[in-house]
Amino acid sequence: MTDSGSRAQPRASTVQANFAGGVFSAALDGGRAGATVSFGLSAVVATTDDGQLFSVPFGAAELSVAGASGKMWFCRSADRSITIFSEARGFPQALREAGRAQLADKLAVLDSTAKSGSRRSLWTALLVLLGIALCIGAGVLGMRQLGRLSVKALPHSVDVQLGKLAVDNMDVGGSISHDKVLQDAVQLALARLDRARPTDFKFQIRVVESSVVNAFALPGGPIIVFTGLLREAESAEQLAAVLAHEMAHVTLRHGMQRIAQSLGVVAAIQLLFGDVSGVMAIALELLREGAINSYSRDQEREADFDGIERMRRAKLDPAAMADFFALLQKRGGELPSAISWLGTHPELAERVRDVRSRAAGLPAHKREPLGIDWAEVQRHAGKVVAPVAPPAAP
Amino acid sequence: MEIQIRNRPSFANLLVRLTRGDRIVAESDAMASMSSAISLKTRWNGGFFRAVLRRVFGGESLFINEFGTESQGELVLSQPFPGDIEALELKGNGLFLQPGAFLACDPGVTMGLGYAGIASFLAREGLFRLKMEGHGRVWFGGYGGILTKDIDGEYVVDSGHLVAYEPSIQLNLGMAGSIFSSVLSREGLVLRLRGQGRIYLQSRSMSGLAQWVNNHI
Repeated sequence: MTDSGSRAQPRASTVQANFAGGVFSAALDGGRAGATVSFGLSAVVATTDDGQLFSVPFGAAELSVAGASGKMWFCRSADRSITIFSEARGFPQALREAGRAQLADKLAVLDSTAKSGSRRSLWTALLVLLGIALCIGAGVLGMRQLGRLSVKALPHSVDVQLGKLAVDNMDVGGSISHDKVLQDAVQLALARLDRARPTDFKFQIRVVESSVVNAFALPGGPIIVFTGLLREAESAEQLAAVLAHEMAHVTLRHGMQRIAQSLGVVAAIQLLFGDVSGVMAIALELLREGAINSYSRDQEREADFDGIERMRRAKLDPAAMADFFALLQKRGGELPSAISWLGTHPELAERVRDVRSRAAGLPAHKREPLGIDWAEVQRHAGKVVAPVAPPAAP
Repeated sequence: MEIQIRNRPSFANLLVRLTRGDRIVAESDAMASMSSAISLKTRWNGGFFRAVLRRVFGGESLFINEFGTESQGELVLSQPFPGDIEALELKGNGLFLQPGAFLACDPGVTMGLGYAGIASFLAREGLFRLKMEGHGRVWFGGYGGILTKDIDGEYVVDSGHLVAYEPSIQLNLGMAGSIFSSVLSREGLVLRLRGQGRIYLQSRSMSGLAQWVNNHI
């Protein structure tokens, strides 16, 4: 009667411990119940909370480890009518002790499968995580490439439209200066640089009153130069260097690339297929909020080198760019407004080095001065200087 | 306390008739209507930190409502999505509930939060699950009809269709068929449930609905 493990009287137990667990049996109302699991001389015994008793003898028991936690031990009777289970701590050890000889080989089989199972699942988990990490990495890289590709497919008119909308709608941070001296100076420098390397972009330059030592360009051609820059630059060539750098951002379409990357893959795809209007609206918002103020390091380096080349072709000294960066570095502490420039142009030391070595490596070329009275410009930009000599003849 | 599950199977709700001394614990915001004689006591769902964990990971609310009355009254509890409600009496055994499935229980039942494992997460069943334990009744609901199945061996359930299962069931991730069948049939990842015990499935899945609606917008 006790062979197939029916409801039986418990034998005197040699192992005293009790464990929380449960039992499956058709004899129970609902088929299952929580129970206290303990051990008899040769059986696993379960007592439900309302006193029903079930036992599974060791000899014919079927053991397995599974469950949602992976640590639940099941003892099933030979005719499969009763299953006693527990995932309590200490239960497996108590089971080993109580079962000893009778369960030895069954336990041995379980031990080996459990070990390999957990090792395998650990490997699987690691592989999955690695896979996810690779996908994310590939996605990020892919997005940048996709951004660049989609921008290549866009005509320049998109840049121009976007830039115009942005500059019309944004707060440039100061009032436009109508000082003729300043206007003439920047226009002269711009014209010289533009002629040296014509593109189909039309640059429109605006001078804005502000202590900020900065200049920036929007996609398509609008360039803003702050009077702070005009005050602090040491020569007209340095102004030209900055302009050449900004023009490079326009001709190399860095702003558009940043927009494409920020907007993500969806926008990139939309741009590729020519659906510009929706994307433009978002891009405008991004530009206005200055979310795309900072170019990546690669883009800055590209702009530096392109600017150097433009300076060379315009018969100006490219080293002026490095001089200006060095000036910013040196004056960094004195000019609080310089911080905003530094914020978008990090690692000046490295760039000074790179620009100088690049400029030095270029073949010597004829130089022609810009012909701008820089001291006059600085004065008009608000710089307070010692008594000024009469302006040199241009 | 008299409890009736009405308007089954599509828009099931619980009608609870309480008299003095009866209490029922329910998910926050489950109350649809009640007599003015019913009083409501809100407390943290198992203590502050546990409550936060349950909210963030278990899809349950921060608070739990305990309804009682000094005289007598009735209370209607319902869930936000259309579907059936199932009742289960726990007798010291446990039940895992998927996030959002819990509706109400007797005060003697404890609610714990457990880590569900990577398999569960990848099958979009959530990273955590609620564990109900103790003595008393539990009411839980699902989207669509609730199908009860006793399994002994292996059973395949598509992701999004699992509502509740006993702790003796192991969750494994699998593919519906070969890699090609899985991708082309769009069955994708499925859950292979293994072990002996009872599982509760819902006949509809929320993600399925979301995708369907998306395709028709």
